[in-house]
Amino acid sequence: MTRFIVRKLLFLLLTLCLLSALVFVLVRIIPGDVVNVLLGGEGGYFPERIEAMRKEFGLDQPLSVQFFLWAKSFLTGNFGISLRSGKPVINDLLIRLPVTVELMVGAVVVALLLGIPLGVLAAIKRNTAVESFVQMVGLLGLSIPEFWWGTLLILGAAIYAPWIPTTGYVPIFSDSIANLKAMFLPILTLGVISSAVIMRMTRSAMLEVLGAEYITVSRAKGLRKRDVLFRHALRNALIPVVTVAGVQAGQMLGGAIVIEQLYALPGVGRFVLDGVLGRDYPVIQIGVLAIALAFVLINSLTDILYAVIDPRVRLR
Amino acid sequence: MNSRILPFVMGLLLLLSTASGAGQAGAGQKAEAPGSPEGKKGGTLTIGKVGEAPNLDPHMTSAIATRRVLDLVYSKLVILNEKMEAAPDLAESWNIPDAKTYVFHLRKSVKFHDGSPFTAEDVKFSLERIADPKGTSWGRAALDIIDKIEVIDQNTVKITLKTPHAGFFAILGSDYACIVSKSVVQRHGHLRDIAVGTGPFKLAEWTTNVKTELVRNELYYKPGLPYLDRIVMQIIPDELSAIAALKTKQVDMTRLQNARNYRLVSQPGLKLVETENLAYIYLGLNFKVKPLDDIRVRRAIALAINREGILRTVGMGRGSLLGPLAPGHTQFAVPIDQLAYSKQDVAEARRLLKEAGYPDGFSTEIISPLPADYANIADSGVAVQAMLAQVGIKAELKQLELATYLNRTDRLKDAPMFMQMNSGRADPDDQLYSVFHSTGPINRAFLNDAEVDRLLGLGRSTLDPKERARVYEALQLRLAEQVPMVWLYCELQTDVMQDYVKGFLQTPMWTYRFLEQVWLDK
Repeated sequence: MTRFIVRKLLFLLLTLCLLSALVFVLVRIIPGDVVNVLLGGEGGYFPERIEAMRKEFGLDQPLSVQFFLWAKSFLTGNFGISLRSGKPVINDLLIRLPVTVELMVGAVVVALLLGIPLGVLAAIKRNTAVESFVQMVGLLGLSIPEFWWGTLLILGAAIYAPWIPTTGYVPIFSDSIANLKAMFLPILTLGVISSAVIMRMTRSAMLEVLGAEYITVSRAKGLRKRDVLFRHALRNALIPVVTVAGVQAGQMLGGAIVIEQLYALPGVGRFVLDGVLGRDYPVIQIGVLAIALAFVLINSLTDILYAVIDPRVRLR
Repeated sequence: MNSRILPFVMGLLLLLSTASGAGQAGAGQKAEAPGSPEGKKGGTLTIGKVGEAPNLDPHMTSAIATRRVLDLVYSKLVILNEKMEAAPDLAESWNIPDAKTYVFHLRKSVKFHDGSPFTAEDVKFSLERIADPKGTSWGRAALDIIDKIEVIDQNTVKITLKTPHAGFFAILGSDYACIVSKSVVQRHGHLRDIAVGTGPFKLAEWTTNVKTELVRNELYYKPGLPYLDRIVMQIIPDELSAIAALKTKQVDMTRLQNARNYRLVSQPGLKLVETENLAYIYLGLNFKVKPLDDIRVRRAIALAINREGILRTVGMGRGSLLGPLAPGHTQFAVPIDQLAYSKQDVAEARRLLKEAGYPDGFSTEIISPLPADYANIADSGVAVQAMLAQVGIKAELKQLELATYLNRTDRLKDAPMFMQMNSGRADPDDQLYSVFHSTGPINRAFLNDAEVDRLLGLGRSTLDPKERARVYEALQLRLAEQVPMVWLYCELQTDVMQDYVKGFLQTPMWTYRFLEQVWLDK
């Protein structure tokens, strides 16, 4: 067992290293670099000025030399300083991480609280007006792009509920109430959109389980309808739902960029986006690494949840 | 419409739009005299700001977002007022013994935000840091005119120029000419994440992409100023979100960039301060790409474009047309109707193309920044593309993100046409020399015209204002004939704020410096 875990961890490390190396090369292939961005525009593009700055950032070295220098400091835990702001990137990342984690966790909770009950409702009220209605709402949720939905919520709040802030992030540890107020709309935007996926998954999984023989048996045994539904059917139906929720959470880490942009949240998505747009290599490097790590963590969490829900997984 | 009436109507429309624009701008400023005696001390002003400063070095970063923060932190030797005249700031007075020599007498007992005294050494250090031939400053080309800087005593600095230069004060008042602390640079190594100046506000907090907080500088050298205790610049990347925040009073003030959003802010409780700006949008042409080396083709392009139409549709009529100098350069700008190739004439454009050997037009490419980066530039590009199609020029419009875009314009230099904006400089020399001189660092057209070079040199060395205006008149006529770019329009700058924000003053250069006079009436 220990060997298994050690092997898995080593494999994980190797993946992250390869990923970092890949990112290192990829970001340097895209046209334009940080010198373009910082010197471009009105300053004038003197050759000496460019050379001076490339030298300052070490971009004048051959790619292989740059790679080894980077790998050396990376492995010793020095993730570099931002080429644009001159601040250590690890500090910037650590400031942003809680924002995105809060947004993600909140959105997943909203998505589950909305999606599962609605999915169950749609499954048990099959072929009724209720099902059609829930299905329609779900389809709408799937088709509305989040930037539009977010803009609608902002305008709605600005007109009808001006006490809900539409912008201005407050860190959770400095003022929790203000933080929750500021995060309310972003979480709602992202959560409602993902709830559509969860709802549809719950519904189809429930339908499949409800048609299974053990449900007929438990009904024939004379169990209460509620017990059949929640103890036998829902629990079994939840496994694919957990999988989907895990994938959704992963996507939110990077995919929340639009939400972060719209609500001016200083999250990881915008951090990486700004890094890419400004060709700020150390920022991209650590941002991608953080997102990859988070994906791995979420996957492991989903694995554990399987075991909690399904005893068969635990036995294996 | 009859082709003879059309230009007349357009001209009339133009006249009306500029007249009303100027009227509004005047009204906005006259209503509140700067530094009004009833100004109240205290309070926090929250500004919704679209762009985040990439870093805080005033000499190395030309990013507008950086400049608007540092307006408040650093002072310069002179300050450009709303008429763009140089007024004393850190330099209390000066004398000019000969046309090449300037002696500046500095304000005494001024202190930097860290408490250390400001001296002539800091002036010498700052200007030399910008002019460093091996350095990366964006003000380097302008300060190249300085021969030497001598410290006479603690409060006196003597600057000797290589040749007489009429635009020297405008250069000293430019955004790059901030006076920094010598000891801070020597101690910290760089200024990317630190800002210690002598300005009205001190940098208290800079959290990337969240906010920048500035607090009142108690040691500020102008008595009684600033009024505000604190200025918070909150970064709101999306302009619509910024407007929503303004409407719900989450922010006190913001600046509109997208002309279309103008209608959203006309409501009681909000006021607009509109100023004629020097910044303009243009279509850049690259002479190194055939057939743009042919002057007839360039003239045809200029004639194909309906500038009034672009101003009316993309700019929502909020701005004015311009030639090589914006109308804001009141003493120098030649009215647009006196400039060649400035009015649309499709038939003449076709004739010129035919004469140049392109009767059916040709295929080419226009690159443009993304609409998300600057909607008005990108939208103008779409209009230009459609107008060029009318004379048979099939231009592929490529919208590129900034780094890729700059790679094409600045490094590869292979884009035939490009949509761009120039933020404008106070002095015509500073405005035109670097863009149109054959050795100019941002001569992206690769214009190489002996007459233009001669007039640029003359404009620089002619000190008599009247004579200088004549030189620049000739230069503008010549540039319009050469068509190194198509000047589209300059925008009316719009700052929107709550009614209780008093004493706000804007200049054609767009600065936040005069927030030192702003106070809150609530």
